[in-house]
Amino acid sequence: MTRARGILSALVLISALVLSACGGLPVSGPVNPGLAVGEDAGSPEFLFRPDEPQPGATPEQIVEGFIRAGSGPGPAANWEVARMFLAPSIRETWNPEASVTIDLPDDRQLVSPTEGAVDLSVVAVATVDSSGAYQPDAGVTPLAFRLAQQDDGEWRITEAPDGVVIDRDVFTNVFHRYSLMYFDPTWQFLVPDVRWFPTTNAATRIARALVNGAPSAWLADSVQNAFPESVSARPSVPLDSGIAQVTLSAEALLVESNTLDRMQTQLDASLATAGVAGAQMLVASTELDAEPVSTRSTRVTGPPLVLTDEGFGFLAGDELTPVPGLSEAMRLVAPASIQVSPDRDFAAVRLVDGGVARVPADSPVAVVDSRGGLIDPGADPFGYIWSVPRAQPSAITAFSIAGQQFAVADAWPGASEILATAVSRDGTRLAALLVTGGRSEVWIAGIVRGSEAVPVRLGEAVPLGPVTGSGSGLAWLDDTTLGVLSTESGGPLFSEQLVGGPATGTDAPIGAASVAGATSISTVRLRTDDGSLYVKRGANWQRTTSGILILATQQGSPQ
Amino acid sequence: VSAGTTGTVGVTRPQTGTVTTSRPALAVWRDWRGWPDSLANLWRRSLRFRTILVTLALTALAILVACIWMALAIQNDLFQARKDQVLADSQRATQAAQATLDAAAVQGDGIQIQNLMTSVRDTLAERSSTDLIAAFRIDRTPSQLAPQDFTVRGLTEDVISEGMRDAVQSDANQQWWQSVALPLPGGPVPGIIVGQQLMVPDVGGYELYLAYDLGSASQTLGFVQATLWIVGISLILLIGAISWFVLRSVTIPIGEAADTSAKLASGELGVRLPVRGEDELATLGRSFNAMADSIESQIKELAELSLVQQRFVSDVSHELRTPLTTIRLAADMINDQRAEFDPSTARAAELLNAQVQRFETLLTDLLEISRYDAGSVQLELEPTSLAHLAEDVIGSMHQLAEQHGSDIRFVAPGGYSPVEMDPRRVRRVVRNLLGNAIEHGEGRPIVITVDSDQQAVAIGVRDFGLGMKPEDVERVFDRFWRADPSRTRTIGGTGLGLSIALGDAKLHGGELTVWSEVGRGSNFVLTLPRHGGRLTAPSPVATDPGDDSIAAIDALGLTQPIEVLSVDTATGAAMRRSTT
Repeated sequence: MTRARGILSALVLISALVLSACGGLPVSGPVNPGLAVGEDAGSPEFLFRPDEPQPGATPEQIVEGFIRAGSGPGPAANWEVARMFLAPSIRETWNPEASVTIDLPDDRQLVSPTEGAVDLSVVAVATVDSSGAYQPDAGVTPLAFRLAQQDDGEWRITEAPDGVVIDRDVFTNVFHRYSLMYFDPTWQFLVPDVRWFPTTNAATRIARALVNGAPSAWLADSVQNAFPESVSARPSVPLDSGIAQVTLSAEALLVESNTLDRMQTQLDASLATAGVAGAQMLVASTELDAEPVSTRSTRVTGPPLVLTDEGFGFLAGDELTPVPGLSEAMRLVAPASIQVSPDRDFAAVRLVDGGVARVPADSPVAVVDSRGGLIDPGADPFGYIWSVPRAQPSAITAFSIAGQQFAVADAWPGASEILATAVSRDGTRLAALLVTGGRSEVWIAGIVRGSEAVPVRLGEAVPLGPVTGSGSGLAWLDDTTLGVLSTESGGPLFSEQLVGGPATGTDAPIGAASVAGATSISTVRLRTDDGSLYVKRGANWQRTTSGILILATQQGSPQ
Repeated sequence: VSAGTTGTVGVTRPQTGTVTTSRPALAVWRDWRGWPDSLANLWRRSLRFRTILVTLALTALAILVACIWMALAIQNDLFQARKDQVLADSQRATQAAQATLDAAAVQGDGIQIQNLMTSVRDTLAERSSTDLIAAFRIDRTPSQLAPQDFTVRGLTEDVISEGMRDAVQSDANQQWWQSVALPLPGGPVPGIIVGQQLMVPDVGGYELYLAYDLGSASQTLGFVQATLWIVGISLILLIGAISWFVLRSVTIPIGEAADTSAKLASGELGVRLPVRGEDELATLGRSFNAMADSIESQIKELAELSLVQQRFVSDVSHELRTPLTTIRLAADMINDQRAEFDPSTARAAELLNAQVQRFETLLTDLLEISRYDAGSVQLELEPTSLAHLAEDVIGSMHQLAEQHGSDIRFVAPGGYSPVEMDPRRVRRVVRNLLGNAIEHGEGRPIVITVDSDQQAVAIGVRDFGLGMKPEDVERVFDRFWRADPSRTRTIGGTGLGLSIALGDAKLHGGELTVWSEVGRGSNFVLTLPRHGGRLTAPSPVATDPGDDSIAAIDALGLTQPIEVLSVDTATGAAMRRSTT
């Protein structure tokens, strides 16, 4: 009996084995763990972690907490913590990125007129709009909140203005500065348009603003965007081994290759400001074939360009290297200020006697403007000399190589005096140190050019920020930064004014008279009225040489 | 109590067992009910069948095990490889999709999120090697932003098990997989479904399922398995055929050897095995042939020797006959005149006459024996009733019996119908047996039984004398053998009587059997076939009398015939008592 059972079970076992050996792949089975999901690409290195709402908080505390939570966008940049202060009804609809109000934290004032209503007034320093553009905006901004008790007895905000409020000191930690790159009208230069975005997914925000958005309004008429209106980008730009994958809409397939190359150039340059090595444009995972075009650099080279007793040239150590043509021509005139064109083929010179002259390298000196009270002139890469009388800010005149003069319209309305002006190295923007209402302010406007780069008018002028004391000198340090020299009671001040951002000021050496940009933004040069040349080393000024009569400014380097 | 012994002397045939591969007739196989018996028979009798069966069974087992092992290994490996591939593929696609989602900046725009989700779906379809993709939002609370769930035909929620969904919902950092049957248009195919979470910005987690069709792997597996089984079965058949052929080359010579041995045993001394090659079978053949040669030569030698002896005995007997006849005439003459001699001389003459008669009888018997040995005896057959023959013999020996004080009782239920036999020889046999019975009967009754059946007639002579020991029974038919040498012969026995009787029985194709037990007497049975031929059935008169006793014989009474009620034979039952 036992033996028979054993044989039976052996048979059953064998037939089961045979059946399973004859069977196919399984069609059912338990749920099994597979591979572990890989780590995500990495969250931003530094994030504020605001406090969450505490149980039993008063309406004022809730609003305070909500405002404080503005500094913490969270890993996904959707301000999760701030949303916790909101009632579920508006939790999804509240848009934190509509605007950013940058304020002074000490000046926040809360009042609660009735229960469930809290009015907050903040002293804004600047605002950043939804496109990331920065506007200095001094003034008290009222913000009204409505709150209601939820079912669990906790107060939550039921009405809140869109946008967040961020303390000035924290702002640059939460938001970073990126530049959207556009072309100048001649497609030679890349023109930066500074924007401020949360650090999370900066590449996506840059690409979206560049492709889907438009240049800032004041710059819009002065630059060109290679991206056609019809092309849009997917709002997600993942990085694949350091290269941003920008997926465009299908219309990009119709774009001709020349334009594609320029689009690629703009993308590469814009994303480079976010530390992205490059970009790959795709249409539905098909890679678009585009090569970045070469653009003109606006960097200036090495040693300072100065006029000394020995003559005009680059000063390297004690050695003066003459500029071919210009050094000779400069002996014929008595300059008070010199700005050399990018190709070093001419210089815009203000003469000691007050006139503005074109000093070319290979032709005779021509006095182009002899109006009274002219300020230091500027030279642009297209051969124009920009000259304006100090007392007439709107009377800007551009003089061509051929000697024609063009009055530039719409210049600086409302300004009573112009202290200094500077044409950007790419020739698309004109910065000016204006006196409006008794205050010195730095303004900027786009240069609208006609055919053959003829300056026609200035675009909408926007203020960049106030100048402490009275301004005395203005120079472009690079494409996005202006060096401003001013004097107040405490002595001269030097401030770096970001175009589309805040300014940072430092003390300048006593007697600082003129400023010039150098290779990088950190090596600004200053000439004091005793002829000494100072170079900025970190936060300090270091005197390098003396006997400098004039510190010339350069608009670039020959290609 | 000593055990009874039955000595049977008959025609012994050589046992000819054949080792040939018997090829059963087709008729045997048509009757399926006979299969088990036929198979058992084959198993028992055919070395080749048994060996092939065992070889096939063991080979089949080995190949079965190997095939199962290989099939399972291949199946497992195929599945594992495909599973790993699927998991990696799914992970790659999901990571690409998640990277897209992670990099998104949608700023709470529902349309943007929906577009993003669409593009993620495209990414998944492009990056993964499957089209069967489904995503379900984990948080079911209504949301204006959340993109809608999506799925494709074929990957419905039925396919995705509850357990799978629970597992995926429970752990955001883990991939899960499960084997499923995918309902594709061509019918369900085996597949693997892989699930993991996808985090959508501003909305939350989605369960993402990618289903992979393993149909091609399944086909490969089917093909491999079919090949495996076909190869396995072919191997078994091949090995069966090979072992059949190999065994054939061994069993056929063995069969030949067996047949040849049987022929040799049955007397065909000239048969020899064919010898081919140098192998073991050839050695066997040579040895066998040498043995056969040796046996043949010895038998011939013995036969010649025997012939010489027979001729010698025959010649001696014949040569002695002539002088003996003269001596006999002289002895008769002297005996006739013994009255004239003095008593001692008369006694000597009487003795001389008696011994000369005995000598003559002995000589006659010797001649008879030598004739048997020479095979020159011819039967003179005529129809004779064995019962009447027995009656005659009893009548002729009646006086002798009376002298010994023995009653002879004759029981003949059958045996009256005439049977072809040589009556002279049969009478001699019966007389001999009866003489022996009288001599050794110790004066007790002697029972003579005659009976017949369809095959044979038989006569039994039963005495209730001293009987014999078993070893004596074995030698009772030997020439000149005497059970008890000390006993005197009162009847002129020569010591050759039983030998001649046995020779007569054999000559008739019958047999002469004996039963004897010490203290119970002896029983000799002569059985003759009715129609010449040979005996096939037991004798109508049993050799072993069983548990009879002399008392039972005495109780029969002596004077009147007794009607026997039981009817055994066609002639009717009769029991006669014969006293004279």
